[in-house]
Amino acid sequence: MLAGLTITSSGRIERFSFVFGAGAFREHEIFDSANCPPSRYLVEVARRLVLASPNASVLVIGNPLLPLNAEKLTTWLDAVPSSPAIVTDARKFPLLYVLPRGLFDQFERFLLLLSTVDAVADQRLLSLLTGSDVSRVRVDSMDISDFPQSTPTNWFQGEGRQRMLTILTMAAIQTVERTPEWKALPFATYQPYHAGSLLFLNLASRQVPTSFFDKQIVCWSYKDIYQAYPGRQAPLWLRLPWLPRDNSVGELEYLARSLERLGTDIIDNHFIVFMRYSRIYSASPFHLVDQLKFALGDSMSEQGRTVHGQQPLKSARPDLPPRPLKLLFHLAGGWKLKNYRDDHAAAAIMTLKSLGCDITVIDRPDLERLGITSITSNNTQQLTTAAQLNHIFIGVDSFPHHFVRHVLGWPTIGLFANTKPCNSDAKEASDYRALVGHLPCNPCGGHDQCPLFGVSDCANFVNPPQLVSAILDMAHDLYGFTP
Amino acid sequence: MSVRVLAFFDTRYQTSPELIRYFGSPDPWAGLRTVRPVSRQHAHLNWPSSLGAYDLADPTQAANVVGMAVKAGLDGFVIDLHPDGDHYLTGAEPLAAWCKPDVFGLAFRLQAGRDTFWTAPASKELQQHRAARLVKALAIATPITAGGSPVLIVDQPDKLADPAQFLAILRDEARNAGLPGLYMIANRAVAAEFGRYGFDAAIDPGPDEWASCKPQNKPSGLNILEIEAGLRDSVEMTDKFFSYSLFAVSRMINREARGKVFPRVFPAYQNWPSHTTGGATVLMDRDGPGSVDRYIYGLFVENAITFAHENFAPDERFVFLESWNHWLDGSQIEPSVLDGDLIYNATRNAIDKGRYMTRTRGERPARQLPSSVHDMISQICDAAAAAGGSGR
Repeated sequence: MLAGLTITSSGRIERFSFVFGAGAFREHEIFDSANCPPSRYLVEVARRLVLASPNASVLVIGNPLLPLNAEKLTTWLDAVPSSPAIVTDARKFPLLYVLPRGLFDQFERFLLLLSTVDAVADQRLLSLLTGSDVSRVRVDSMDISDFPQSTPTNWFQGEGRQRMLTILTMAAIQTVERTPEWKALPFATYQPYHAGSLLFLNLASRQVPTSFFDKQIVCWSYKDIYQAYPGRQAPLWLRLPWLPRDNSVGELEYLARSLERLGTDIIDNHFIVFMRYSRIYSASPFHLVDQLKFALGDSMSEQGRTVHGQQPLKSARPDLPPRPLKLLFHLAGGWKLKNYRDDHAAAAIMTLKSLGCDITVIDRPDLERLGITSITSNNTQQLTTAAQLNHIFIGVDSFPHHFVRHVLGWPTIGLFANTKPCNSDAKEASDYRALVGHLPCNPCGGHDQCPLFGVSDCANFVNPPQLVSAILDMAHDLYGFTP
Repeated sequence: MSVRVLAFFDTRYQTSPELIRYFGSPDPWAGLRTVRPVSRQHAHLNWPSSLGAYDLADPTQAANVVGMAVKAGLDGFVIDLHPDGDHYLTGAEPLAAWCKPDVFGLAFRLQAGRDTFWTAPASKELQQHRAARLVKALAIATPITAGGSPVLIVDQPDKLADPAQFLAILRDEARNAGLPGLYMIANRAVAAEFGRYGFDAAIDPGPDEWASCKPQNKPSGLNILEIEAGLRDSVEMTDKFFSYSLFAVSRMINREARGKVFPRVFPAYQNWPSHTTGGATVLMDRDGPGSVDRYIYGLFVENAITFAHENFAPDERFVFLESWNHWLDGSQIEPSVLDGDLIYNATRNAIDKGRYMTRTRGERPARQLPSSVHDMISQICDAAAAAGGSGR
């Protein structure tokens, strides 16, 4: 569903079609990443075309948002007078881009700035980048109409998001027009929230040898996370509270406020690229860190490049006697269906207590009735201290879990339910296990209510005996603990 | 070893004289061509597209079928053993020619309820003779094996006159034929039900045999009167309609507790053609009967693969797909006129994803604590749950 053509100086055309990869890493598959703009796929297709056809002088790349194959592209190519050009539908939705090879060689990362939804903006940008006229050819017989919010190829592009892409292209145009030295300006990622996403971005940036980006826009309220685990990209602090999860502020509105708050000086001296979700991230089997690695510029064409294909970055152990077994729980995620059921939590905790475990829980004073300690963890320092006082951390799919495992390397058990472990767990090891059921409704995308059964708990969590067994198995293996 | 995905396969679609005689029509596709729904709530059956109305007797067409199955990530087909006099017909020969060790193989299924020989008492001599014929039918192709032994599924094991003797005689005859044995799988939702007879494992029964959730239709008294008065479609009383998502989800809930039962996954199911007077099972997604919820189906396949990986020994990790070409119950994944290659591609993607997850996850470490400790944990958890988490 991704396509391109190469044209040599002698006029020879070669056709290439690709699909979004699902984990087999076949030659015609391109890594499936949700955390990048559609234009990242223009870059990747261009890379593949150049690799397959090194003598190409012109690259023709289908709009990644559309389900196109190479044959379809050739039917629209006849009307193109010269390169560079953009072929659009009857209105201004880009169907394909005809780019001189030199543009890719010289300005690869600038292709990220193309909106892929507004040919007028893209034409202007390409004209500025190439310093030449860019023709726009209209196919009157093709009307894409309103590009939908989600597509069978797993794009997730509401109208607001399309406007965000156009706004950032317009910002790039303004930057080029106002700054004579624009070619040397740094690129910055726009992914200012949320905590887990920021952590994954920083993890990813340390694993990408050659990134498109030098900077990242981050909410000031996440300063402690950045400081605890900085990526390779320098921060551009955004002094706005992070986007609330209750949809009271839309992403588009938040972007507008962000640009306003960042100010002209930042905009004129950076190219900003949208890095929140453009696709359905859970449709991909790949870890979000890997999806971000692709977004940052790694082609991710081998399994060995993935989080699951490599050894853990860090592995650490507490300096504690094996008894009593000290356990730290984090049972509440960012939304209701991520929370481990109260009655199951109580049963597991009571069982562990009766077997000689000393239990602490993060931010659940209501569970103190079970004779355990509830602590607060408002920042990474508090979380680090709490984790290091315990043998094993047990957490739902949320920031503390990811931080404790990926940054501290602490023995961890992950509790997943309505999200897929493969998108945010860690490499399975003697000191890491992801626990989840096998219901085919996972991931459901629900937040506060199960879409199938209408209840506020997810049935896909493991039950208390499975959880307790996993904890004690790990404790026995790592510390020789026997109940 | 990676989880092996095997698809049920109907070999009737060929012009071999034996199969034509057995099924009673010179046109193998006649059944699918002529069958018509008699209710608006029964969807029309689909029709093959890119593979066409193939004839497996033609080697090229058989090769296309196997090639496409391999491309989808399948490891083999499960072929029915049709009792025919005192021997068994499979129609597997054209496919066997294209099988390759470690790439693609065949397993077999005996539908015990349709084999009157095994449902009635018989002398040991006759049983040995019959078992030898059965084993001979298995020996035609690159077999799918577990523990080195060819895999044989037994449907309706409760119909067997003497399940334990059936297994013992069949295994003896397999050894007499030079095989290391047989890996026997009972068609049962709970492994323990027939495990005591010596079955090696079980497989989820098909949608028509095991309704894993309650049907959606439950006609009221008024509905029944309306049906009797000809004011309402009678299938609401005679057939069972299920939500596909609920049906699939309920099969995977707490399935570890059912023992070594291999998952059976399916994209759709409606068997009205074989229940013309009522009693059909019809799965529906949001768009009604016959349509496919590719999202849930893909996750059904993916989760079945991860489940098999986590719960079974490396050589016994199977997921069974219903089906490659059971066109007559609408469960086929072959490309079709109505669905194009959407279901085929959804299958391939789901297998790719499942295999990526299991391949990169590696082997889960063996349990560290003795099973007595795990039993104790279960008991304490139960007691704690009964105490209601009050801290008492």
